[in-house]
Amino acid sequence: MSTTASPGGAPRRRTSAIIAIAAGAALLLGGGTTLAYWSTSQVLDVGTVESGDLNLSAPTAAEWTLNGAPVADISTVQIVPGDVIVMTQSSTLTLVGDNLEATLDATVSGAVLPAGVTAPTPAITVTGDPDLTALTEANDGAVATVSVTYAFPAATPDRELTDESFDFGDVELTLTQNP
Amino acid sequence: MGPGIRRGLIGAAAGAIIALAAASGVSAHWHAQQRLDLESVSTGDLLIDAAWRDGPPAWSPLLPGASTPDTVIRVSSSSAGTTLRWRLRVVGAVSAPAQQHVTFSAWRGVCGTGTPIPAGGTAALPVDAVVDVCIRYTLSPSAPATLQNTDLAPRVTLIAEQVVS
Repeated sequence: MSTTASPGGAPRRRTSAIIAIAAGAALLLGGGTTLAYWSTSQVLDVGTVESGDLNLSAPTAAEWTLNGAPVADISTVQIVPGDVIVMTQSSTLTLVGDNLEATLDATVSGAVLPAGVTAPTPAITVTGDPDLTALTEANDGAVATVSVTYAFPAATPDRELTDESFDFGDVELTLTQNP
Repeated sequence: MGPGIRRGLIGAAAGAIIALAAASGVSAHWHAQQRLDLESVSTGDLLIDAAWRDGPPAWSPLLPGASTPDTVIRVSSSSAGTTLRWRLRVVGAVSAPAQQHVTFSAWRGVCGTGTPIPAGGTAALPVDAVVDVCIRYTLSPSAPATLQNTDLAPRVTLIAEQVVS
């Protein structure tokens, strides 16, 4: 075994020790900085901010008419050429929000119809007749009425479309916040 | 890993996060939906059945100025339709050479005293109506001799038509 001693080794170790002590002292001083300087703070009450709401109420029961006359039970009706049936249902809009703007739309989906029969197009009216693509909080509580009209063409010849079932599917009433 | 590669990876990751945030931005808007059931609606039908009330006719040969015996056809409707109303048209025909010399008449009820059925048909009938139609063919007194011993081939067509008011 042999040991190599560099010249001047003792002074270098001393220097390292001094640097370590100085660093430690600096850390201690740094950690206690807040105690050493003045400080003050104020709590600002931001208060409460409420979010708005956008919703459609559960629809009212469907009301049907046949050639303008109310129908109690649509399942008992058998339509013939020339008949006009109308379904009406309503839903109440919830539109709460200072900057809220929304669009109301209705589409028919899931219809199962014989060939040549076109699904009816729903029509929407809202209390006050606002622009359905720019509904705002001013329309909160307004009632949206969806009506779907099907007119069985009077010109249906011979015995076409007799004893059929017209499944008109569903109307999806959608209220969407405008981007 | 060198600093350049690391910076590149960090940039790519940040870009992906931004892209995901942009793609999912639409779903951040409120949306409410209600489904309204339109249910099903059935169509009706218009269907009649016609039969000789007293059995098939066995008419004797017609002579000029003579008519067939009163013969009744019973027409029954098995139609369906909440608002359905219909009318009955009765069309009598014979062979072409005899057309100008044979007249056809139809009544609702009894021949002669019943309600004549015009070419346009009866008045509107209810969906489940049963109608007795009395028919009569008459050979013109001036029928030519060329019609002797010929088959007049009489045919009666009963037509149910929907009445649209």
